[in-house]
Amino acid sequence: MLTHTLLAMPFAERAGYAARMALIGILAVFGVLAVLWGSLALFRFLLEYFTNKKTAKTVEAPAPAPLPVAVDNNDDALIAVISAAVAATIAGESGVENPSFRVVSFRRAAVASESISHNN
Amino acid sequence: MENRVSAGGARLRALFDAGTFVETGAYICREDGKTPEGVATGYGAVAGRLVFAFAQDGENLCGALDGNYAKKIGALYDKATSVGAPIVGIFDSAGALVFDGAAALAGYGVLLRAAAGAKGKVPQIAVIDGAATGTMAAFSALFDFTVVVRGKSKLYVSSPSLTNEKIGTAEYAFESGNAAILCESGAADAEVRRLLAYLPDAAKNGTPFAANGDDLNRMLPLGAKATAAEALELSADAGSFLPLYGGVAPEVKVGLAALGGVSAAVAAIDGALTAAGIEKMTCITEKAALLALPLVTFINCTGVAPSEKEEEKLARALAAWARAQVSFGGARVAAVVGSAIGAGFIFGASRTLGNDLVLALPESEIAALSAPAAVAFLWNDRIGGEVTREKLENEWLETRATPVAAAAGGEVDDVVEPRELRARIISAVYMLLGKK
Repeated sequence: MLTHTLLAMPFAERAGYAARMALIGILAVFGVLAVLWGSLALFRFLLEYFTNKKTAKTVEAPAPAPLPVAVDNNDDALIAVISAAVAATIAGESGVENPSFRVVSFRRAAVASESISHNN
Repeated sequence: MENRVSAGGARLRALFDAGTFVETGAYICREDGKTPEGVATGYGAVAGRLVFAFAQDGENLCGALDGNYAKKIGALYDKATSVGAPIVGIFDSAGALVFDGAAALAGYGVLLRAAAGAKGKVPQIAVIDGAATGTMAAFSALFDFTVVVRGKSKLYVSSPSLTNEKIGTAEYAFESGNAAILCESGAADAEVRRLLAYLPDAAKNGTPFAANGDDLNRMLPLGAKATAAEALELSADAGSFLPLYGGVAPEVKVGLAALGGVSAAVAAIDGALTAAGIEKMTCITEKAALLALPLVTFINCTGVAPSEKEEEKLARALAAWARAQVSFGGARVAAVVGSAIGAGFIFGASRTLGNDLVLALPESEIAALSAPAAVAFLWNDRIGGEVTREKLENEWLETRATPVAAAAGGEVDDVVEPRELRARIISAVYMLLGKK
């Protein structure tokens, strides 16, 4: 029926009807999306609200006794002390102050065909 | 933990740059499980370059060889050849451990096989720092160069008591051509370092190069009567000529040198060749081939010295030299400085035997016969009246024996001014570096 009615309309009215229907469809879709976005934002707000409330309660609780762990801001000094102790131990074991071995990167003999430019 | 340092290891420390020696297999013991093995092995830096080395410990059962001993040296060779680095062997061993029986004898096979297999792959230098007797002497002879120490080295295969007192001494080894360098006590390590400076890490790496600042175009003060030895020493980069095998065949000088920074095997022949001189030339040709070095030969050779005593060896010696030349695939340059007569030209400066470039000085003499022989055999009937023997000899020299005549036939590439000889030789060596 609707099809017959539409077909009976002049072209300009049909075009106007189509435009209205398209606008209504777009508004409906974006409206639903806006509702969904609002719901998500609400959930996030509620989640943050309750989480903060819980943390605040934890902070308020009596602080536990500090654990006896290494203090981070003294790392360099600590490593230096340990290194010195290890070095002293090694020196004591080997009976020498200066190391008798050193690592070197070996040099390869230069190759004439690669070293000499024929422009010489 | 026990930090074990063997006597051989202590000896090797002296060879290497301070603090760079790493001993391998230091905990390996003899059969009894207590006595350290009689050889130290390891690696380190010599003038910054990686070098592998072993040192036999003459104070440990006279450095006697047994099964583990051979395995240590065999393992050293495996490493050196696989990474491509020179090997230095410091010898001080009276032979095999008799109580080890066939295992010790088999150990010799390990050593000989290792050294023979490394030939042409990595340079090998032997220092006879004590005894190297019996098959150990043969093992040392497989090395590319042998250094003997005056008053210290004992190098022989058969017992000297069966022959004479001189056999087996450092001087004998040097004068018989078995040793390349004879040095004083305490100087062996310096000689090894000097040798290594000319040698590649591995032959497959190609010819070594080290810039030394000498002017490539330095003009030579070579006179018309200059000897080949003078031309060699003047043409080489300043102070770079390292003479080898100087104890035998004085008519031939061979050694290593730098030419425009390029390491090269060099030879100079002055006068008539003896069998020992021919063997010396064969030797340096083979070394150059094995170590990827160009060979530059300076010729002032009147041929082969006639000798009834040596006649039986001459043909074989010449054949061996020809074989060495033909199988040599590297760069070769010959410079005729004075005479190149008969076999002197054929074997010394012939393009057909493999020289890539042959240069000749304007005053050089290139012919099948010397002028006196040519006149005596060919023009003797012309002598008479105003035609004297001297005139005919000059005519021969000016018409038949000139370098230009040889160049006209294509047997000489160029006739060059004596003062330009160094520049021309270096140019030739540079040009040939890419030779495949």
